Amino acid sequence: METSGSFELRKFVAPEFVLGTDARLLAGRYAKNLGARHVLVVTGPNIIRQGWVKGITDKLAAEEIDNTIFSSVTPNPRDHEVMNGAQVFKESGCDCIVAIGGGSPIDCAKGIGIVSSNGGNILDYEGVDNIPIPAPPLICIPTTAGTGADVSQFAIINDTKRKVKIAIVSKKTVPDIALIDPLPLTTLSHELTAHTGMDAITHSVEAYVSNASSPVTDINALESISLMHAHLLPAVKNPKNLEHRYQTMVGSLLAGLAFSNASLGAVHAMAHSLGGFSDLPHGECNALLLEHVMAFNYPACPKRYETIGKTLGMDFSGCSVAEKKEKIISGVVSLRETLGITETLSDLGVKKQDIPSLARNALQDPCMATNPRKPTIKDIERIYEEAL
Amino acid sequence: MKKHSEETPDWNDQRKRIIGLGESSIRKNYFPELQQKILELEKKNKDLNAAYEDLSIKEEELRQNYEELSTAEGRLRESEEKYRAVVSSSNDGIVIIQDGFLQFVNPKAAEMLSGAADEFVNLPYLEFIHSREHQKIDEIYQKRMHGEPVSSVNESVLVNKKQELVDIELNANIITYRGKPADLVYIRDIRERKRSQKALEQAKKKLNLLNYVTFNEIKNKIFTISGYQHFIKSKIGNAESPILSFLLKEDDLLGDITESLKFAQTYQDLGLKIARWQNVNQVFLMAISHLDFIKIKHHVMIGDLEIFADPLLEQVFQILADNILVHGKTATQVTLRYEQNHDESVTIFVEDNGVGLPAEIKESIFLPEFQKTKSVGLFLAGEILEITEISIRETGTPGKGARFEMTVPKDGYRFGGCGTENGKSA
Repeated sequence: METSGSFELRKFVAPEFVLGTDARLLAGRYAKNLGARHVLVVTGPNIIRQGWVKGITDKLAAEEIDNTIFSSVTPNPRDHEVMNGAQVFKESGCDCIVAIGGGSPIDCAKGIGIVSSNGGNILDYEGVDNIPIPAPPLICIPTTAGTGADVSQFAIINDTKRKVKIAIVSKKTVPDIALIDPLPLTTLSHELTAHTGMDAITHSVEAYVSNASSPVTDINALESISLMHAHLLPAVKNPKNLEHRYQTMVGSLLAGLAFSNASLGAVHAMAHSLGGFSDLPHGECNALLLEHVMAFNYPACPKRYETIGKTLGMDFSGCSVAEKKEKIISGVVSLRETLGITETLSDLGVKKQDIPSLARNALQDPCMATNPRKPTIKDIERIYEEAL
Repeated sequence: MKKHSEETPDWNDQRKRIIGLGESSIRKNYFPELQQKILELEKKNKDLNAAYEDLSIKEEELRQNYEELSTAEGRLRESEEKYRAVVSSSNDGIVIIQDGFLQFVNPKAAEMLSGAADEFVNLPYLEFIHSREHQKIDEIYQKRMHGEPVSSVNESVLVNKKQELVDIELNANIITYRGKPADLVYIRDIRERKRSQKALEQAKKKLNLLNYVTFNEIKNKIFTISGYQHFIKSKIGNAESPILSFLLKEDDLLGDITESLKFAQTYQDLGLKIARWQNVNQVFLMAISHLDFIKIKHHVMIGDLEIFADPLLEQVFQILADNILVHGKTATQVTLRYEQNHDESVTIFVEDNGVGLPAEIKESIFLPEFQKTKSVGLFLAGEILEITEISIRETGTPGKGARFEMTVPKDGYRFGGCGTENGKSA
């Protein structure tokens, strides 16, 4: 479904954000501005180990704000981790949350906030616009360039019982402030830089072809693709280079703003299903599924994919539609492989017999609603099979 | 937790919700509620401020009341201390009786009862009154507690722990003690006074006996001398004899001695007997009954006035009536009346319509010198009345009649027999 050129109503939601080196060190000031007296710091053990948390809690202390650190968060944050965090928030008498990390701590922090305000179980709030009461003040400090959770209205939580990732989509989960600092990226591993970078690119591609896209999300999505194309590989190769890290951080930010407002598509719906099923890395799942979903979606919005291709530096002069499609998909595959993501889903342990279940869950994911082409369950099963 | 459906979601609906136009603006949807809360808080704040102001005013009032109370308490404490000092050091015993039981006993009362003050508290007061006095004292106590008129000063006999008898004078008044009426009683040991009175009475009796014997002896001698004189006069025979003139002078001297004896005999009884309440009307009528008062009309307008006076009061009225008969000359009537004065005293008037007293003797008729020369007994009348602080003077108009005024102090008279006098006991 092509929506560009229509004049359907759109709005654009973005949090306040501060971008630049040492932005993270403003956490104390902003927490004070939000009236915080006791902050729950939600983070992961690796981030603490790398020393990024200490500098931030020192700033909180300098403003005479108490803090309690909650670091029992794993990749693909579990529902019970959210509930534990909400318990700690309540028992510690917290009134504000600071999330430091990639998508997992930030999504977990969003979940903790939702439960703290609304009670019940985090799984009760699955779906779109199901949160009645705003969460406590939330400050996000991303330490990866890809999640976009620091500016998005999305929170993805692992339903451990059903083994599926649920998506909570609500403007009430948009953080109050994002402190976007490229410095923590300098300690990011090669692998994680590649996975999160591909995540950002997938965000932009899916937002751009989303049936809920708008001129404003388009600008963000395309600029994000452009920046990631130019700086992701250099950042992987030169992890300490702050310029590349900064640009990938901007790319991640723009991708986040784009998908937060235009939503995503089948790649994320299927990746969520995979992540819940076998706890696979989210960025890698996206990277492995992107080319196959693009191939499926291409007929629905070829112009948009062509624009993406041009943004990736491709020249389509004299190319037929099929050639353009082939060129674009090849370009994405090439990028993935250049980044070192060369496995298949089989390599990650996914079996053919898992596919029907994975497809059923993917079809239930809210991200599927904005995919430009409506897939059947067979379509999804086939895409999974192609990615095996 | 919500249940999950296997059905494919309505993607159009999902998409519309993702676009989010149906959703309220984020983070600000609380504002109307917040505004309402702010208004409520402002109102509460206003109410609280008003309440605080009220509280401040009340606090100030309380503070003032507290200061007043503190001052009053201080005064009360001071008063209590004085009271305690007075009560503790009093030479009179002081007890408080409530519902027939002793509730307070001061050190002096405890000493009179031969024990410590605490051991008498909550015991019936009658335990310490001689049994022969029980009926009288309890009746007085009950009447007083029921508001009936009763003398506040009474004598009785106390029996202490050692079973010793002590003559006492009780002076009682009703007070409020611990929120209830009680009898505050001053107890005075009058054993010494009683002994003195008894000794005085004994002495007076002896003196009276001596006077009686002496007067009768002198009277007998005078009678004998008069007999001898009469015998001498009859033997002389010659009426011109100069001896007769000496005998007549001796007669006059014997007459003076007889009058002096009569006066002395009356005067010696003064104050011998205890003063008592006397009905003025009855005493006056009794006094004139001894005299030839048939030709004198008497108007008695004295009502049931009673005065506290020496038993010789009748003698006073007799002297005044005798003066009317002897010196009033043209007197045909006498009036007995009274008037109450501003200072609550009362004046009794004895008036006649005779010739009255010459102005030059008004001041001297109550002097003993006048008594000796005129023998009118007014000096004696003055002395009798003075015993109970009644004054007498003459205020009549010469030529129009004599008027004697007797002024009785405010606590020395009453009407109707009892109850309205101040401080006198029968």
